[in-house]
Amino acid sequence: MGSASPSYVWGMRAAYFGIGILLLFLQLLPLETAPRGWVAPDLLLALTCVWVARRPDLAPVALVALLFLLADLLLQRPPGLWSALALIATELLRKRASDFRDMIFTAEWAIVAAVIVGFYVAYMIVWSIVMTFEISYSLLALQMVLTIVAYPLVAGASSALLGISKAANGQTDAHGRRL
Amino acid sequence: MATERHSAEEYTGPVRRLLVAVLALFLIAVFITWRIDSPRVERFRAEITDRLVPNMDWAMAPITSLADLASDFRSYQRIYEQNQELKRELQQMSAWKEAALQLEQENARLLDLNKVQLDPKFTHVTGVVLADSGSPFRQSVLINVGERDGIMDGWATMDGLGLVGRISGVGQTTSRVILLTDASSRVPVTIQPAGVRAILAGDNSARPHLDLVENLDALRPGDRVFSSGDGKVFPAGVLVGEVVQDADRRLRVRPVADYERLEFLRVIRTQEVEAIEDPGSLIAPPAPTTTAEASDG
Repeated sequence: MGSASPSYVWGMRAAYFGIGILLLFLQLLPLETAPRGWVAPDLLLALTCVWVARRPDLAPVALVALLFLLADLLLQRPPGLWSALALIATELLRKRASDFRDMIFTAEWAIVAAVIVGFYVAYMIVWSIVMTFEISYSLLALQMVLTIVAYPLVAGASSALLGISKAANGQTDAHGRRL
Repeated sequence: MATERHSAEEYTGPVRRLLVAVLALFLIAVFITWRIDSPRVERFRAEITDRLVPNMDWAMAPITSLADLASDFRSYQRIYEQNQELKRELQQMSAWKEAALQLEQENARLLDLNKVQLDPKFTHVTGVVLADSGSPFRQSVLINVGERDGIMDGWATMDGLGLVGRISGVGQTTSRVILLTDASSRVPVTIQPAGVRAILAGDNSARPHLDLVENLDALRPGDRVFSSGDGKVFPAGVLVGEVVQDADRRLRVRPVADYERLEFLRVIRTQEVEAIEDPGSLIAPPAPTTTAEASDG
């Protein structure tokens, strides 16, 4: 297998950031201003989980933190909370990235699902402790389920369109280190 | 290979771990700062939004117009129904128009008889909706007028028909409108014809409910809800909607504003209420001689 050149790595990092910004903009479009009884999956979270689990070098931690903090600010969430939890969740996945390589997809999906559930439960707990106004927990739970369901789709799309798949054994980066 | 990787990790590992810890602590610190000193962080948020969102207008324009096209297309499908509906409504309207004209004349006559001094008309600034809150848990929109146009926090916002929300968060060129449907929105209202006062409380549903109602018995579904001047935040007398009763007999308000598609919003300039400070000069009017001396000297 060939080594990943720096230009490829930086190009894909830029692509990750670009897709994240695009997802934010799509959410901000004023298409529906009436309250609705449904939610969309959090695609930014699903995307980040896919990239971190499969090619952790292409979604560096600083970029993840920056993107999620921006999302917090633009989407009227309490700034910092969602992004801190997302950072912790993705670090958990990143640590296991080399184990994912030998797993079948179902096992990978199960672990990611467990991390996402933990993420949402932690968010709900912190919210119920410190928040002043009510948030719909059923909507949050629905979003959690949809995000988990979206994971394979996002993984498939990332692999088909951008070639984000698990690094093969023996694949190295520009410095000759194993990925 | 394995040893090589091991040594590489030994070198970068601790540094990286430190970076991650610092980042996580920073984010948590931001959150705690927000919880303690919310206004400052919210101002920062408004500034960031102000910088970023107007810049993406060009990117949004094609998508928005595509969505418009799609919804227009959907409305073509039921054009016949719509036509019938409109004809029926038009008939009703002409009857109402006649009634309104008569009432207007009567009103003008009565006002003339009473010599009533009405409030000066409200003036407004109109803005275009740039973005919504982007999250299903908050109900707010961003409009393209801000500090530059003299917008101030707390001003009422309406579409052509009725009250929509109020300004909360002003940037240089944008400002955020918290809609009446947001879970944190509370607006004092008066319900006519009974003149009952209440608080209109949003709860993230399409119909905000009535809270702290003075006199529940006086209310009936179909009553009209107006904003009241209580708390001096809102101009009084802006139409909000109509009282409805939901399945569990709770009183809610159906807003007249078209929440499905907010596009142009009017921000109503709220005039400062003049405070009356001196007790008046009923007992000892200033003597005309002293003022004459003062002006001479």
